[in-house]
Amino acid sequence: MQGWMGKILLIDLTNQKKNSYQLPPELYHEFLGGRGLGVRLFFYFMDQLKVPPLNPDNLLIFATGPLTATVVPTSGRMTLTTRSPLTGTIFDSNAGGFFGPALKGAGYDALLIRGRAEKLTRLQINEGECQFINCDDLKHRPTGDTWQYLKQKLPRYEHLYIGPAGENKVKFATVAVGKNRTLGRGGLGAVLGSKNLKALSITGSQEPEIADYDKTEQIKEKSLTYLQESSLTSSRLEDFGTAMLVNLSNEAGILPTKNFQETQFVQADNISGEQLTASMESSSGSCFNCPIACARKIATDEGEKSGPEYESIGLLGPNLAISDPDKITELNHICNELGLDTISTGSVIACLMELSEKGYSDHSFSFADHSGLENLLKKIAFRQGLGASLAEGSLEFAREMGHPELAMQVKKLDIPAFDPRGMKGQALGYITSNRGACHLRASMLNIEMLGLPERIDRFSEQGKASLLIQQQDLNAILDSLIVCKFTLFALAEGFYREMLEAVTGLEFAAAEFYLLGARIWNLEKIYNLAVGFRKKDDTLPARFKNEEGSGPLRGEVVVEEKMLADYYQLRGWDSEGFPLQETLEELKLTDFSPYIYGGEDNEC
Amino acid sequence: MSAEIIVNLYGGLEKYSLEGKRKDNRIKASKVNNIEEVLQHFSIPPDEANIILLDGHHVDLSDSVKAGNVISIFPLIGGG
Repeated sequence: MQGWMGKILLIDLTNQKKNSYQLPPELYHEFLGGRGLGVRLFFYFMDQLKVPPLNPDNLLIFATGPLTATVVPTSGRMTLTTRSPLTGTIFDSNAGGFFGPALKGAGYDALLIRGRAEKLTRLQINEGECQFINCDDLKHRPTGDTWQYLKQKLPRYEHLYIGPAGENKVKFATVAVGKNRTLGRGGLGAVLGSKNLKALSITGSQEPEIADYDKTEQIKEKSLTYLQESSLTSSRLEDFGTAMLVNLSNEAGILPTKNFQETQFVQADNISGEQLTASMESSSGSCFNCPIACARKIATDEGEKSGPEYESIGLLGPNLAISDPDKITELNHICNELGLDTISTGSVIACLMELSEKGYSDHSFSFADHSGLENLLKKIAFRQGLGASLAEGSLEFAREMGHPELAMQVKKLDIPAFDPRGMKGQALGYITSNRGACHLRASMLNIEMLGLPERIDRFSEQGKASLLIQQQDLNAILDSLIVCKFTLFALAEGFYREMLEAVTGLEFAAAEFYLLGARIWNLEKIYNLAVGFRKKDDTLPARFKNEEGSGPLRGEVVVEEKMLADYYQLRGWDSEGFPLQETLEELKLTDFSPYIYGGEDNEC
Repeated sequence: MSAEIIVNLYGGLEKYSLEGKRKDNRIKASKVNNIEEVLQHFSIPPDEANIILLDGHHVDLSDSVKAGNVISIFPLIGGG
């Protein structure tokens, strides 16, 4: 097998057993790797699809793709797929760094972990050898300390690990990957915590076999040339980081402010990428085989800290009415140290502040008073007092307070820092995303805001369903190959097919290539339907349908019904969002029909 | 209404500001008729002005401008 390693490893933490499996080649051909392989393997290995996410039987699936660990630019990524404790959907998150190549180096395309260790454990894998090591000494250690410990102890290994929030099963806990990359969303860190798995370290010296080495090298050189020719991927992302989007979002009126009550923030420039770069000494960092180097480090009095990404600035800054860049950097740093998703953390605190503002809560936190937030983050991570309620996520918290309408989420995943009222395709993207409100399932920002490849009317609902589907399918492929979405800024879509063919030696007709994305998307949808999600869950909070935004968003609301009906139809689904039999046949998914149309005992 | 147009030069384009300012550059409205002339005023090559917003709305080079407008100009940017 070329491109893939051809086998996966399944580890059971309960009895410390391991098994290696060879997968049929067609499974790779039909689902590629990463996200696609993750959802396929979840069906393959899970007896009970409705497994409670924090139950020992839930499965963690770390997966690489056929391009991982090759010379292809940005091929260092890996995914983690599981059932999310935050959303209850199938959920994959992917991160850069160097872990993916190390997993392949150990000889596996994917690593599956189930069960629960009796005590806090770290897992050490050197090719076929696994060690289960008690690590009570790492209990509640923040991520920075944990990283230092692991790096010093095992310098030849690549590591991922959780902070206190994961150990305490906070519903939006993260998994840290390497020194400064993160599996950020969906609370996947809590699933590691529920298994008493503090850290996972892996190494090996194996390499995937490449079908056409010369062609792969040529494609690499051509890709690097294009990435270098684009001012964005060659220098601007390195110079300003993703925070360069702050001023654009603000001017365009899509910057969440005060829990999305407003969409422009007067002091936005003060917390922009331009300002952070100008006022602080900072440096950049990159992942495996990546020329873009978008990660930012900021020098502070207390040492170097990760520069906040755009999303973190949006949710921890304007959405809480915070304009002090030092404060945002500090909150971002504390979230990283505790292992909290900055988006969901900002969202649940904004919800708390709005509850206070409206007199629905007697807590002192408000948009006008930011004292005590650092301590509140710790209370969330350790589930103390008010923190225990906040740790359940914004919708559960808002329900507890009697005002679910003030949680800014879809399927309990908090809405990122692009207001849907100002990008109607993005709005439909949040509504239909299989993992809840997410901006990474489809690159609608590129199309509706950045004008890539050409500008369209961002306020119109017309034609957005078909554009969105194309983007969702393409991004499902990128998440499965796996390459970084930032390459889309410089590379044409045909590149990815060329890369896949050169590495694997397989041929994919253009239509078949896109079907890969649709197949992955539909299998995720089948999972969500099987565990009970329905059309009623495909909706935004009332705020976005009834209240206008600021500036250019005056008079703008999201009208969902027509867009959603178009979307279901173009997907080949019925009016309730169930894939039609003919759709399942076209996508070679008929084996999964019983999960949604009955006939199989899966407790659904 | 102010007789001026306000221009914001983001994403590194502040290097074209006559005063080295990112925000709140001002031009007398009588000096320019459209976006293209705004770019010429600052000597910004059109291919460096990738996204242009007028009061938050995307516009083209030929779109006209008037006193009180806020124009924000960005190079090719991205992220998210």
